[in-house]
Amino acid sequence: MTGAPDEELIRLARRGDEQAFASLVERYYRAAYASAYAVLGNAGDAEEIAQETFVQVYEKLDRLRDPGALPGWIWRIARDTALKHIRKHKRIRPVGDAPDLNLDEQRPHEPLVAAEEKEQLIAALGELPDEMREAVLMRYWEELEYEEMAERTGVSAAALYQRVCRGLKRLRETIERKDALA
Amino acid sequence: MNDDTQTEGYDHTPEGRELVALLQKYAPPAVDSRKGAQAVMARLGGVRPRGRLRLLIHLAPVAAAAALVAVALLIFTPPPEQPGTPAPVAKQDDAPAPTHTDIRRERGYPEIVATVRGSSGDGLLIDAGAKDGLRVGDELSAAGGVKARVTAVGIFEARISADVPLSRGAEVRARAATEAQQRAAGFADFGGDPGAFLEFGALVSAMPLADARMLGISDGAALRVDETLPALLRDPQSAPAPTLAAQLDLRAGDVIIEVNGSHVRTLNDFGQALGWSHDPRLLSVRILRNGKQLDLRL
Repeated sequence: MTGAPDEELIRLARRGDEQAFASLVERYYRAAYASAYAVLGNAGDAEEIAQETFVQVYEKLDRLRDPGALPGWIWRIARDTALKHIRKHKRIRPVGDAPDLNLDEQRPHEPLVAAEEKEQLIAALGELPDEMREAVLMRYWEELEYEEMAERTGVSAAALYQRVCRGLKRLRETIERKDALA
Repeated sequence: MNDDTQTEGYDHTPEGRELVALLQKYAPPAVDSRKGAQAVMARLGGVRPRGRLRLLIHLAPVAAAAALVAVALLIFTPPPEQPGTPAPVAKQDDAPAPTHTDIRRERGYPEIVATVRGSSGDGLLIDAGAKDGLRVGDELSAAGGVKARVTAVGIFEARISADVPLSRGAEVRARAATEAQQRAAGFADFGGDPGAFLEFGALVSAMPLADARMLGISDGAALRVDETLPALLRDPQSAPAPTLAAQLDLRAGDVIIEVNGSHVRTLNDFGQALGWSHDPRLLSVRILRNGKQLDLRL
């Protein structure tokens, strides 16, 4: 069932087919996780939000009129859920992801620098328009080819390439602007 | 010339490549979509019927109960109200929607705040679990002096038993008093505990250099097991399942040397060696326990 098109899986899931919905979750889990991670910068929370996202997707599946819009819909739900999570947990917003920082290697200054750099990147990603951020992260975090991205989004590969380039340029400008203000 | 043509090829410029490298450097850690899907399905409790069908299913027992009560009222005189301690059952009322676990610092003291999400087996499910430092036997409190105790833990969720019924949406709290709770609270601001390999069932940490060298580990880098979790709640309605760490008989105090033949020096090494896609039946861990080298296998 894992190779079935989204439309078929959605139809079956709406009829209560557990395997069909699990296949959809498996197909887009990494997308939801990446979308949440781009907001939270924290793997554990992003995974929790990814799971919460699919609970919401299941609850609202009947409202999805265009099956082709499913990937973008999942991205937005994951992002909105992550933003709500931040609003609720303002006081504990993480700034770094410890497993990436080699805290165990006894180089006390490096984790702080890395955490700042990462926080800056996550903040800049947060300022990108949704469609640019989605394209950039599909390309570099999900490591999808442009053809795969086109298949998923229904947007041409050429247009997605433009979005990625514009997104990268916008990211650079945002990071430089923040550096100048710092 | 529009903006699109001006930016075309930006990914191949030195600035663009630098940004791509930065994005790749901070890409999220690998995640197992299959396990994620299993966790989602467990949270859904299997695929639940939606819409009108679900409403009918929810209403059916209510209607049946109402009918029974009506019949009982016709037959018996209602007995006087007796104080009692009925089993905790989550009520589907107008309580707030499920929320996320919180580790708060009120007056500088960490506190785990969780929400009741529904019923789970013979208890209640709350949205805090092993990642928040909850362990079986931990005590929690709710409004009105209600006491509860953790009877099973999952990574993100736990099953509790309360001394009086608690509604869905009710808050339960634990003052981060245990070692595990304090450890989780201590890492909450830093993106979570880097040594908590909860899926595997163990919490580990880098050994102090001198301790490792005393054990004869020449480069002084090794990991020590701080705690193992015997079992985790994988499905809210089922019994907890033994963790891989417990099945291997890994114990607190063990020093990890190798996983699947790969030398393990750091937490990152350990995570990578465990991998996400390994076949657990082939997992082997070489450890030092009380100065003796042991190979643990399933």
